Amino acid sequence: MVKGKIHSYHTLTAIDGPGLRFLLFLQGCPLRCMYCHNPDSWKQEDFQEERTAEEILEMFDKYRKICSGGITISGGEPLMQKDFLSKLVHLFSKENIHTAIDTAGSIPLNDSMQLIEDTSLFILDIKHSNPQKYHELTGGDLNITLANAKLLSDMGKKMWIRYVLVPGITDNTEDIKKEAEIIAELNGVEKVVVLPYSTLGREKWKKLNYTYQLENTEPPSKELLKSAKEIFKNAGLPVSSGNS
Amino acid sequence: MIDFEQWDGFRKDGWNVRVDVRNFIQKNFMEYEGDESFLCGPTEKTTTIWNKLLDLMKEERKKGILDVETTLPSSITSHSAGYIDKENEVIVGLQTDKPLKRGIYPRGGLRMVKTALEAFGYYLDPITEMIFTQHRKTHNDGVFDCYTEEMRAARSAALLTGLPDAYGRGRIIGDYRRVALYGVDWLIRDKKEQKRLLNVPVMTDEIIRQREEIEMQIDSLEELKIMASSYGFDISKPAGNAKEAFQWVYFAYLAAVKEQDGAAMSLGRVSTFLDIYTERDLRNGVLTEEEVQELVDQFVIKLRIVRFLRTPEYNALFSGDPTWVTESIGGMSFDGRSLVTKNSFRFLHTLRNLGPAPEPNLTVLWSERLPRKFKTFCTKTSIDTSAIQYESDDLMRQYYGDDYAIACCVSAMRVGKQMQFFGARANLAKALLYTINGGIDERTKKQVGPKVEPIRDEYLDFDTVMEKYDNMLEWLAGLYIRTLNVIHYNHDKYAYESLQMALHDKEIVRTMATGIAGLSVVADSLSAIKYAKVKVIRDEDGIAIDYQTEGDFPKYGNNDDRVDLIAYDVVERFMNKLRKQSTYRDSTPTTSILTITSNVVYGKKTGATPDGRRAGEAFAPGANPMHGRDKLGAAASLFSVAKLPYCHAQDGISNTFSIVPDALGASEEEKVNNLASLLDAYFNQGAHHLNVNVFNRETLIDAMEHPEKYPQLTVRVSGYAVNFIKLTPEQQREVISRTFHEQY
Repeated sequence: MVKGKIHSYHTLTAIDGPGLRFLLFLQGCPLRCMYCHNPDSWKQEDFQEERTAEEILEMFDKYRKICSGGITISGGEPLMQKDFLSKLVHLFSKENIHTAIDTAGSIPLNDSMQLIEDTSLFILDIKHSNPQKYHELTGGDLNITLANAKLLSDMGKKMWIRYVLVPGITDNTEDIKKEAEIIAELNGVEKVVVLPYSTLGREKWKKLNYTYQLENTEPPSKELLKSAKEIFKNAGLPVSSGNS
Repeated sequence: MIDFEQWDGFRKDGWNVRVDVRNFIQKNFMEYEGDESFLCGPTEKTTTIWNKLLDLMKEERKKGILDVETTLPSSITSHSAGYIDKENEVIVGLQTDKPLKRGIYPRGGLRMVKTALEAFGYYLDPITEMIFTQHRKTHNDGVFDCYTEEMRAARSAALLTGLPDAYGRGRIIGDYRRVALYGVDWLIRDKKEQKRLLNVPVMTDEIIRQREEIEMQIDSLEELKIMASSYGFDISKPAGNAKEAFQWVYFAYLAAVKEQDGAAMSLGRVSTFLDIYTERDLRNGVLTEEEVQELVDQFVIKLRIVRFLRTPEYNALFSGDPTWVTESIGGMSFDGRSLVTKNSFRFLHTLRNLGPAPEPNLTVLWSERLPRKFKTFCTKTSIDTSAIQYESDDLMRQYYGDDYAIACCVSAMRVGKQMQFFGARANLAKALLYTINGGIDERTKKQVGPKVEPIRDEYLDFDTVMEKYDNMLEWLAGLYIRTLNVIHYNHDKYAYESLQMALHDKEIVRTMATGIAGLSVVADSLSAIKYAKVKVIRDEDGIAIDYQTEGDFPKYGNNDDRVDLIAYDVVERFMNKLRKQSTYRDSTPTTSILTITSNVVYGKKTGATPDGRRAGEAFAPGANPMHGRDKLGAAASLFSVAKLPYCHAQDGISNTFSIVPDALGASEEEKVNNLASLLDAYFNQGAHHLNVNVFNRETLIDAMEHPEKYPQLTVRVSGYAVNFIKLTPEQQREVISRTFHEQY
């Protein structure tokens, strides 16, 4: 029996996929994003509990009526636990429950056709458009994310793309234009969400004795956020007016 | 059979031969399933009046009270007609002769009047004082003549708090609609007939009391006519058009607040009733939509300026001048039609036309079957104003039918057929500490509870604590009801609500409405004792003053049955003990889980508890989980509260929910729909009540620092709404410290 390593769960969210949803956080992430809100979800061995897919469904069932939108699986990087994730999403899709995977796409998906089939929506973070800067920001490889994006696009999957706007790091106009170009080539993108960087994660870094490199970075101004959104809009993309 | 020309165009089928407002509504109301696009903005007249009042209210905030009567006790006819701006007032009538000038109600208690006047720099006229000390006894005097030592001790230790023993008890809703539908003369005739029926061979004290009460009711109806005529209206006959219907209903309500300074002076369920009149006038082309909205706005303005004179202690308990002019909107009829009419929209729309405000306490009776467009209009208004509360009509309709209303915050009662003896609340968290300390108060070291063997164990044992707690609750339930019996016997005797009771049937249901404070503290404390190890820290006198908890334990608010069922059990257990008591006028005991803002004061007066709550720390409001302990998100938190048994807490279970706007969804449309789905799902779980606040914590912090920027910022607190900047700094901090649901 494959068990998922769980970070935590949240019984109601309205901003991580369509409608009111159940939100499951899986433990473990290969990336080390400088602005991460959940650095406590990085190391897989730090999981809070282990659960089977059936147990998650049982838990979800208590909230089936209120979480009428479905379930969103986030992390960490949920693709780190692909076997468990595949089982989980398959089980939920059999029950006709809408499933969304919130991922940075940092693990190749080309061996996971069934998982892609079963998933209703991918919420995909493309954190930077420049490979070098992507690596500096996240420690990961942009090409894996882009290959995943193309695969999902080719398979006709529905996607929401998220982009976190960090002053001094992801706010370069050319970089954003490039990001918009990348997204514009994808099929199935229902929404582009530009999220303003927030400092909410800072405390967790301190607690874990990690050095927070964005100590002097402030959230983007309203004007900056607006102009970034404009760039995406000008590329013909469906940009969300809000934070989700 | 009497027929009135004022009734032309109404379907007559029962209500026209006997007093039966529900029958009139059912036969004549027109359900509205459309959207809000028909609504109009405020007229110039409305805006002129409202702006005048905003200025006066600004001055009132500065001074504490704007003006007050110091000589003449308030009664239905005590003051001559008063106006805000006669030319622009469409609905007339003020509590005293000037807007925002407060009356005095010494029949409830002279001490309260004197203290409150002096707190604001005024002095009671010596002759008035002499009359109420030498010639006329007050409710407050009566109660204290009868209180036992034990009652006084429980009261001063804050084991029982907020008792209506020094002012009007309130929570009685007159069926103010009757005045508009029948005219006062019909009602007087009806009451005379009722008194005639009490001409019986054996004059028991109950019969004598009823005969006297009905005669007082008749007198007050006569006074109501006189008061109306001072404003130039003859209300002896039914209202003939919409404007008169609003005015007649308002006069009836106004008479009630002239006669009584009850804790909660709720309005009832008037909007759909009045819609029948506005529909008739619209149909006949004698009113325009703009004029209808003007009537609603101006009626609501009058409800917003009801004022009572309270002492600083009262204001600390219930901040922000609450009057609980609760109006119940929506709900379903038995035949499956919703009671939503255009007036339901128009009343909620006043929050836009006049800006948000805590009063009237707009309460939506929610059903899954309400028209979709009304639901989303409600949630949109909540998101914009945070001024609405929701209560489950699907739940309450089973108990109270389809013509009930909410008194105060969460107390449902059949309009004109039921009243309650308001009983504030008992501090069950303190009772738990008394269990451990053998009835000795942990703060004052006085013996307040029964002198029983204290618990001497180093670590608390769950079974031992439960057994002793059960005994303590048994004692408390008895003391509590005995205390309320004393209060309500004297209130009936010295401060009877003759006008409000004149607008009731002869035979009514009376409940003895007790309340519980500190439920989440008790549940978590018992859970800590059961699932973790709780070590008792005792002072040099051997009194337990603090607790050390080792290990984790389930906390109420996470949809975890291990602790949620403890909360359930405590409610059921206490209620069953209340049910055993003998009550004044054979009233039916009920209880509520509601604190209003008194959770702050209750917390202040309660020592440290085994759940890890520090001495003096605020309780959670109503049935809410303790701040920050609901870790699994909104649904788990809501579902824990939804488990509490309404059948054992029929006076209401209050829950306050705060969410940041961005957490509700991306677009306006998503937010509105998501909130409606959330309400559907919450009430589907069997929940009773939800206050919905939608704002950012930063807004509140800014409002604390710059109150002048937020004159109308309204927040929902347990069971009512309050103007945020009128809260004490302590209460403001408590509201800010609550769980705000947001995504991280």
